[in-house]
Amino acid sequence: MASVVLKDIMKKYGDVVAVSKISLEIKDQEFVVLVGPSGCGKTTTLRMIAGLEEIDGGEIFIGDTLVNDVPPKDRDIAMVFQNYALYPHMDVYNNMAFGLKLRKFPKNEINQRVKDAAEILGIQELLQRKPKQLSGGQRQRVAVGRAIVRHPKVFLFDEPLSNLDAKLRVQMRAELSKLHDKLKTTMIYVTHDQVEAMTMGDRIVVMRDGLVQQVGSPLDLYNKPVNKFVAGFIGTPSMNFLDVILKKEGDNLFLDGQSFKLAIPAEYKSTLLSYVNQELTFGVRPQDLFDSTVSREVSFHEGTSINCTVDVVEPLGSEQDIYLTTGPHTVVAVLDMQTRTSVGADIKIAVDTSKIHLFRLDTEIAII
Amino acid sequence: MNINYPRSFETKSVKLLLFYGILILWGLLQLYPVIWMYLSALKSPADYFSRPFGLPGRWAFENFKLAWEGEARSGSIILKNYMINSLIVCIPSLCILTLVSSIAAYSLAKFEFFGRDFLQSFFIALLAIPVHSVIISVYRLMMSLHLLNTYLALILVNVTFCIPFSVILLVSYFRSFPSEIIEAALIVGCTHLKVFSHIVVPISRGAISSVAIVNFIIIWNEFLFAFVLNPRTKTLTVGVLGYKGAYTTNWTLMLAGLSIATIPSILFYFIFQKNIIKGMTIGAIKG
Repeated sequence: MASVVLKDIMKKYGDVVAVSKISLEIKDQEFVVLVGPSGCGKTTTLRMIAGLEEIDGGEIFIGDTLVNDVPPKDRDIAMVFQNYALYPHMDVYNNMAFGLKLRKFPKNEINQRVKDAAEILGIQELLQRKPKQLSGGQRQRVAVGRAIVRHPKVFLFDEPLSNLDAKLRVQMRAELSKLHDKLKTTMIYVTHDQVEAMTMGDRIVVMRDGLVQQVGSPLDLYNKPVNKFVAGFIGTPSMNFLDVILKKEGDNLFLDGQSFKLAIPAEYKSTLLSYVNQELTFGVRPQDLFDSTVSREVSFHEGTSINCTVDVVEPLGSEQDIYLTTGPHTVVAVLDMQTRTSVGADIKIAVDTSKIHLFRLDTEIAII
Repeated sequence: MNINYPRSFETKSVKLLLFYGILILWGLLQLYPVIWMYLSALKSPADYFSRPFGLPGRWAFENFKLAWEGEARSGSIILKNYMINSLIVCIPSLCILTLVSSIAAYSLAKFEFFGRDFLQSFFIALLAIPVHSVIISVYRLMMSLHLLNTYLALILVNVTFCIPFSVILLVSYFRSFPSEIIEAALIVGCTHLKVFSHIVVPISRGAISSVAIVNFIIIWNEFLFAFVLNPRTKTLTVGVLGYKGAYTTNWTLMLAGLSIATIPSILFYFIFQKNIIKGMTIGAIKG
């Protein structure tokens, strides 16, 4: 077990900067998820920690050791790959025991470790099978098993669930979380799936274009995104963004979105005064919009609702995603199934103004 | 009942018939000299001249025995000795060739180093050099190394001339070899050499053996260098020439000898047909 510290690490491919001066401190036993869209540098960062990619600048520490020039085999790490990377010519037992045999562990200990790992992962009966005789989920378990038999200081996961079907992915997600609780080892997990990030990570690192956008707990990222990118990336469906002008009438601030006027709660007034008459991006999560006729969750009054027209209704069973238009804006709302509406109908949508977000139009940085 | 096939169907059938007709004719043209060789090898000398294209009047199976064991006279040609020579040249050549070309191909495919692309183009360029153009320089080189009439000379030449072809075939295979498997092995504690010997070679044994089999046929049938560099320790292909004398040629024994010489290649081809085709198409089709 060990902490992992990245200090200004950089990676370039020719003129393209894949990772740009990332600094990060991952505590011992922490489960950190690197998340971001394709090409954001998350996998490159993980590969640099593993030693599979040389770094062009900065320092990486595993525990107290500077590992910049340490080969992967001496970093005491284990990695699980997206496509499992099992050795096809070896059976499951040998796949798991290979690393221990290389390090000349006594045979008894190898047996014991493989047996223990197989028990944890429920693959005892698969030990004599070759990888091609296994299903995707079983292969994934073997890949994890191969990592855990070595009792490494740090586990690295590179999109390990991407190749599994949706149901198995949810199951394996829970199993990996349980595994972390059981092993109490530092884990760094890369995914492009924000649901995986939200459900598994103690902390999430959101990346974009080789830069860290925000580091925080899942709820921090959800409730207090630092910029429009993080706000849009975290949460399903994505946050609604509407271009508005902040206006002041008397003592009150409100957002003018052409087709609606939304009153700003007094608590934000001091923060927003300097932005009056400026164009801003108004963000609201689909879960913070309600049908004003049925919802009792928020008390509404004039200036907290928007008149919309229904474009698409997507019933999901427990709730429904409603796609709406209001003036030039398109909005998604997650409403409960009590709302009965149909395409083309008018609906009055209430906004929980205590949970709204405002971003600068130029820098996209969050104001509230 | 009259069925009116569409016109396009009829045209397609005629085209197909023509296509197969040409293929069968071409196949027969290719096969005929080989069949002629085997048939003539089973003829008596009299039959050979009296009915050159017909079946033997008497099936002279003893030709094969005489060619293999030699006639009961001094200076007779004993093919089994030449076959042993061929094996002595072929087996070490293949071992060295397989080892060197697979390591070279793996390095070219999976490592980035200065001059890699040049080196790869160089291997391709080597393929374009006809062996006949270097035969004198190779001869002089072997002479200065005192290697003429040694097995080593042929082994070195065979390995050298087969390397570019093998490397090019294997590079395209190793390029498609999943890097994650290599990386997984590096992380669990392998050195690059161990990754190659414990992981890459066992997984790639199909591809490597395919290339080895293709090379076996090339080396087994090699004539020019064996003739020029090793006139004394003759291989099978050169040994068969001995039937051709200055004044007389024992054609039937020569053809029996040639038939024997081709048997290992043909057997090899039929046993490893799949591997040979795979070897020729390595990297061309995504597995």
